[in-house]
Amino acid sequence: MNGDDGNDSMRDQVSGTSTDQASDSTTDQASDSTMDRVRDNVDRNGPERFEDVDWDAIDAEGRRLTKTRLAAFVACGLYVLTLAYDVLVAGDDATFEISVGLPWSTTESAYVWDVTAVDWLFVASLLVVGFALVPVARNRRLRAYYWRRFRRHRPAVISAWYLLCIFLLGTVGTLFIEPPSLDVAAAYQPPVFLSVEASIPTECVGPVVDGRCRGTWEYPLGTTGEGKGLAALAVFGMRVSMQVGLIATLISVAIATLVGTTAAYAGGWIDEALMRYVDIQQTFPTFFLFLFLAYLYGGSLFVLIVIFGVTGWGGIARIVRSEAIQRRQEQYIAAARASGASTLSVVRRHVVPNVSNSIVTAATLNVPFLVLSEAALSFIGLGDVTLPSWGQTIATGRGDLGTAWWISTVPGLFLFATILAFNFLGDALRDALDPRQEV
Amino acid sequence: MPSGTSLDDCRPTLRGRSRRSFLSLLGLGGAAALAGCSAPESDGTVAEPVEYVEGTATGTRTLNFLSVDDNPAVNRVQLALDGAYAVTPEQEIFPLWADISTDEGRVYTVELRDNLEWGAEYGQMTAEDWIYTITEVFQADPNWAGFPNTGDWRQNGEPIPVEKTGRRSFEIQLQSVDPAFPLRPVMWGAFCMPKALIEQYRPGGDQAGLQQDEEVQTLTYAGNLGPYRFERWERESEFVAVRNDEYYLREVDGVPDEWRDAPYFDSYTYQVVPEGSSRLSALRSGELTATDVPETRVEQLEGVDGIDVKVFPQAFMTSLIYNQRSNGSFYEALREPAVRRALAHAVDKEHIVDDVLRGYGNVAHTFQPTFSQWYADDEVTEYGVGDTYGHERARELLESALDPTPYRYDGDRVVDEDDEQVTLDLVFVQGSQAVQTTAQLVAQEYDAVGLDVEITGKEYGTLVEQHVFNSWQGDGDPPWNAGPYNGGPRDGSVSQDPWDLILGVTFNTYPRTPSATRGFTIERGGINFYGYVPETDFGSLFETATGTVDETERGETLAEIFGALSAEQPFNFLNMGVKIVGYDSAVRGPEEVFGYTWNRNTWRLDSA
Amino acid sequence: MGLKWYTARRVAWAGVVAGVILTVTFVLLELAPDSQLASVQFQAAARGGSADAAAEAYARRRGLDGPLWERYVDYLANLATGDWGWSDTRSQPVGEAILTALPYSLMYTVPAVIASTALGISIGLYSAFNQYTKTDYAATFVAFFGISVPNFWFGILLLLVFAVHLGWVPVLFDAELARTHTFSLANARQLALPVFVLGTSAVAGTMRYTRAEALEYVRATFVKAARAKGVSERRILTRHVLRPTLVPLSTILVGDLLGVVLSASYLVEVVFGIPGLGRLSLEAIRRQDTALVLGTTLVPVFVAVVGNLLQDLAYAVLDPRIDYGDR
Repeated sequence: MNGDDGNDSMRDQVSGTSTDQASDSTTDQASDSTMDRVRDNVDRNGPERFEDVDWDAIDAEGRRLTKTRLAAFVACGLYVLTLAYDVLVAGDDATFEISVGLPWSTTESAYVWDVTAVDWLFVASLLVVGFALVPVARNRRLRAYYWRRFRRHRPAVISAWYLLCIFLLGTVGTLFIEPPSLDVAAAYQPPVFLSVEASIPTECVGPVVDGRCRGTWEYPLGTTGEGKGLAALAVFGMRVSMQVGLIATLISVAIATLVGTTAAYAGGWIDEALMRYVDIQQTFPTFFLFLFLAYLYGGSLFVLIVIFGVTGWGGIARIVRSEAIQRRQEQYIAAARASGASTLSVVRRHVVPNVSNSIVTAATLNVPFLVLSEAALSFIGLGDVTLPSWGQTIATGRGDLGTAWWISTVPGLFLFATILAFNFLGDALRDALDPRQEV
Repeated sequence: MPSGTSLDDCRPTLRGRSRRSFLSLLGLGGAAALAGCSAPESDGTVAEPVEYVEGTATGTRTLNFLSVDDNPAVNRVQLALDGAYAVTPEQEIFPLWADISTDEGRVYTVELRDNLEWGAEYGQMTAEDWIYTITEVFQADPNWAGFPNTGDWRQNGEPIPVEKTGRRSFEIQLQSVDPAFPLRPVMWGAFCMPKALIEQYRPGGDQAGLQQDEEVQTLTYAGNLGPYRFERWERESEFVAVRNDEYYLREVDGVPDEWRDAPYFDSYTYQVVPEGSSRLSALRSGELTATDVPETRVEQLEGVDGIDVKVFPQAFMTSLIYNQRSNGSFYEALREPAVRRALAHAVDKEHIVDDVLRGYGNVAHTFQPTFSQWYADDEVTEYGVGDTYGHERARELLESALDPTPYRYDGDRVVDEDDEQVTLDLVFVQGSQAVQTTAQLVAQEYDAVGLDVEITGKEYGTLVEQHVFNSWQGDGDPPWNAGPYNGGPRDGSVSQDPWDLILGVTFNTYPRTPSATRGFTIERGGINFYGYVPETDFGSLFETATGTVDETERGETLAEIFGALSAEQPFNFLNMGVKIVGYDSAVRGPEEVFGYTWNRNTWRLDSA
Repeated sequence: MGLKWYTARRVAWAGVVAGVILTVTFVLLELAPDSQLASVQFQAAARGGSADAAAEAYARRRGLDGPLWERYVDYLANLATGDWGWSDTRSQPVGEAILTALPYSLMYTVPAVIASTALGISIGLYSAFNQYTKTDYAATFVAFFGISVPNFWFGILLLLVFAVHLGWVPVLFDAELARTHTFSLANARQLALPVFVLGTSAVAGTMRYTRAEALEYVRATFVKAARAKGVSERRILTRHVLRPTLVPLSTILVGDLLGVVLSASYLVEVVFGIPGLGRLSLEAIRRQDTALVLGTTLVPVFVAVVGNLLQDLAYAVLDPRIDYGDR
């Protein structure tokens, strides 16, 4: 961070970055120093933060085609090719059809995946998020620094691990387990180790002891009124929640960053027009807007994600703009401009990376709101009832709470834990990424 | 408590739920009923009002029956206005305001009672009021009041002539003989408004004025014409009617004894509780006297103290509708009765009734419930039960039935002419758990005979707009047009979005007036959105059935119709729904028969 | 440029916002499929009548006959004279419908907001003073509990436990009682659960802001100076941290809290059967009652616009650094 920081040598001196980083760091350190005395001792040697990722070093390397770049290009290319295949060749048929004999399955199961629009978006989102994390992941010191700051917040660490599990189960896990299927004969089975009056399930799969039906390992978390296993439903619900949360948030973030930085950097009437638009959009209560649009255009997963993504970015855009305006007045921007950098490159190289921590925090807190909104719309009856989302399962099982409490409660607890984890994570990230952040 | 008296005293103790005693111990009192809870009577005995509270999902939109005749509106209006006459479960006319009679089945005479008094100084109800309401509202052209069922009072586009024959009697002159006319929902249950009231709006065709009229919205004109008086209407919350002490039926000779002191409730309330699980909770806690129960929730209430679940037969049929119009992906096959019969073998109707509906429903085989007098066992062919259900059998039948079509079996899957697997789009109406489960079950059963099914749920309105409405897409004008549901011949008139199967659009089967099913079964029927072209000439059969006064001939013709329908399988008749109501076990009166509400004014609460 | 000019501009802008929102809503509603119409037509066709005639009668009754722009201009003209239109699905004027529903909404939102704000501030302060301790996590968990739990599921569960099994509160909301005896024990009892559910869901927002603000001040030089002078912790908390925290906090009550309350109220009102604004708006959308949808849309828009305006004005008056001409 200081002038003698080793990183400097790697920086692209032409763009005048060293100036900006230096000026940036003085303000940061002022607040850091006070904070650090209050908190336990933080590494004083190199309190790097997200903005300090060596974007320019990376860019400089980029011109030489780094491994990361190559990977990104390959991934992107593959993505476009398969997408083209799905749209042009496969059409209505399944995109992938692979017959595999799974070791734990007695029959050979054909693996068929007709990739839907949502799946495509999800894969794209994962790619974008993945490559966005590369600069952080590659910088060991930075990684260690964030980790040290982050791990002080115990619940957030647990939350992060929990969310990672949910994410892996939802993405990878769903590829290997059978989607829950209808079996009315096995309706209302209680979770394993628990029992329920034998008259409640259609037929008791497990043993009936003293007039009470016991749960079995076949359905470890019990079944719904349709005889679908709640364990499988919970796992598939993870995927839906991740899809809703990540894709929609990514769309929001993309639009918000574009609008926010454009408004801040362009100023004048463009700023005025964009922010006036945000004003209007924000005046509509967000949930009301969701409700209204879901009613009008139907509640399929794709439509919901688009609605969430396209209408929910106003708040983030405002944060980005106000952050970007602050940055705009920093000297390094002036220096970059003076040295002939184009507007686009200034925004891309200096403004966006420097507001990224606010974006990350806002995005983390946006995800749980969207996941809950999906559940709420399902409750009101505007979702897609065939979707195996937590919200749908809770909504359909709510009438059975009196007798088969587990139907709504199992996905309810997953939903609760996930939202809670995102909230803890969001707050911890805010603390870790920028302690000065007020809101 | 503001009144200083314990509220529990004025709440009817319908049953000794532990909850109440617990509350009185705490001294908290009941929260639910302050209304009608005035100071104790002077002689010291406290009159306990008997309250009947029915829980519903939605409130009514209006009390103006001239413009809206949906169930919520009619149910509420009926508390204050009896209507012309009722029909008993035995299909007999039970005169209320009026009796209806005929000699030869073409001209009907309506005779009003002599003690019918409007409220709000509109005087006595006379034939004049009826003639005016019928000609100036029901038959008005243009339809200024927005009367929804203009078709009821017209025959072949012409208004049915009505003529005053006395101060309290008038004649309805049909074009042709129709012995079932009194059972049609035309005069049956018909309401009337005072002529002087309608006259204020008729000349200017002031529909908005009528809608917003204070008297219309508070039923002040009802006088002694119904068992209850309008008390208050909190929109989307509650509608309360209180006992009408001047009820005309009490002073009429020759009514059965139980009507003498009717009604037996001091107030009748419709309480809107939007959330289904809250409705059931309120029934359990004793805050509701009655509410509908979905099939999938009945178990919860069985064996609960203080709650009786009653099951009433209904005439609404759930069927799996096949798209035979040319925008389906399997329509060439579905147009073949043999294919439809084969598919009927693939779906286990008993399984649906027993496991999805939990036994609360009846297997259907034709366009008529089994309790209907027109249902003839020996004429009806049954599919999808016992021996006529089986995937092997269905597969064999389907294989041969597919011969004349572009489809065939490739291995164990059905493929089209390009050897592509056939995938059917099943669209179902969202909102009912039973329908949703049935849809998935059908998909499983079809999969077992080699047909892929993709299921999509849609809101009713969206489904109708996208899949049910169809219009002529061919060149020029359609050869004929039977309205938005049947825009012309099935090769040219198709819906906006393609579909193959629809589930959840229920059909009324009209067991009292079975010829009303004509619109569903003939090629040019107003409801035939599925593009069914019958092989039997149903049109002329219906003509015979409607036109004859000979009961035997009528019965035989109708039996033939419903027999032929069961064989042709225009759609897969799955089951007849039932209405399930959970009652406070103190309720006495509701009988588990079709049309059970006709005598609800004689129901009582047995507080013993 | 003076304050008056600034205010005038803001008010004019508020008008523009409301106008744009009304127009968009109006057009969107027009495009939506109408299930009422579908039912009416289906019924008419099933009874052998003409579905087209039924559609015509329906349109006439609902005031949907005539071209879109004509109805739009009519609506705006009426609105200008203070007439919000006639709600056809409730058979009452829209203004009356909103005025009837509003008290029911306020009855549970006001106590919930007050309680959650108090609780949120306390937890936020506590959390800021005890950062990264076990009790901080516990306090944060309490605050996050409400925002994380699916409201409707929680509400139904509470009803089952406290109304059906324990019988402490009634299941049904008695609107008549609430209207006639608003400040009675019985009304408080039936409002207890809705207030609790809504309150818990709003705690997290307030807590988060308080904590962030308080963290700033906990480390501020003046707090350290005070502490060095030997000022008691209690005084530091109330005088030096709470006070400056409350100023920006007051502004979020309008924006963020309004959002939470509005979205939660839909679910809370449906579960508890309260005939308030949330249900009014939901039913209006479901039944496509154009006038009522527009009316119920105007209410939150109005609150948000006025809230923002007041907030800006307060800042403008209080903070001399803000230039009125800028916005």
